[in-house]
Amino acid sequence: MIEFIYNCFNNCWNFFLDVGLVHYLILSALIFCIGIYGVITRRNAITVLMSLELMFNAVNINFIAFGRQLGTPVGQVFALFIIAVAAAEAAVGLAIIINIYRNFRGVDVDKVDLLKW
Amino acid sequence: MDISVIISKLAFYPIAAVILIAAILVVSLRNVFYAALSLILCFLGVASLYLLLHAEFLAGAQVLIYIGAISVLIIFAIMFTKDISHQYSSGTLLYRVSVGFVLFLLFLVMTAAYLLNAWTHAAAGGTGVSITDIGKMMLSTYLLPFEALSVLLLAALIGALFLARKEER
Repeated sequence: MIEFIYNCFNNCWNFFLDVGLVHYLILSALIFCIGIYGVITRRNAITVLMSLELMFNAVNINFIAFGRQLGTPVGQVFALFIIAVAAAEAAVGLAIIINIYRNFRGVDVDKVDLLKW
Repeated sequence: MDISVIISKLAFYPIAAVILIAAILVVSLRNVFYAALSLILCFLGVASLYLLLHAEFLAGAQVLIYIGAISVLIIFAIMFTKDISHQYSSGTLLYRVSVGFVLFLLFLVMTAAYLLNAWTHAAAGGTGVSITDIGKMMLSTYLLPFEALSVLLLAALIGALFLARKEER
């Protein structure tokens, strides 16, 4: 019994010390879930966009961690593409938000329901 | 194991803590402007994580594009639209708690998948891939996506200008 607990503790300690791919993946999963939470629960459109950026970053961490693990530059190339697409998305999204603000006098995503039946 | 290797590996934990705290602040702060500031902190943490992963060019690009461009754009948008801090979040507390619970389950499933998977590829040692490899790959294998991306970026920026301009009547 004591040996089992000791082994468990030892495994956990080794997992803590040996930071590798799995640690980055778990961190990225956490950031992704926080981002989804923000997208679902916040009402301010700008905050929704910021949560989206969090999710982009989580995906980028995944790509770079895998690229590091496999020793190829493909992961970094894809992460660069994602950064560029995120820049385009942010520009267009914020322009749309400014337009919404002009038309609705506010950026509450719950109030913008013109396309609802 | 060398002590410097262990230290550089353990540097993951404080950086991860900063990123997570900043991310939670982004989705929970009532004031949108403070949320944007903590988003910048989160981006900075991710950039230092890239440094730990020996992706120096990506770290630079992260600082330039995310902190330099996107954050400034977001802060501009906050300034243009009046800060409406009373519109905090939609739904009741029960709604938010249930959303958080479902996302926690999602996180548990992902973590279990990561932990139970036997990662057969050993970690590549050394200093990782150099910026030369990235440049060569971008201009040979991924040339078409690269060029298409530049056109997309141009189109998106012109479209953003078109959308955000003042209507003249």
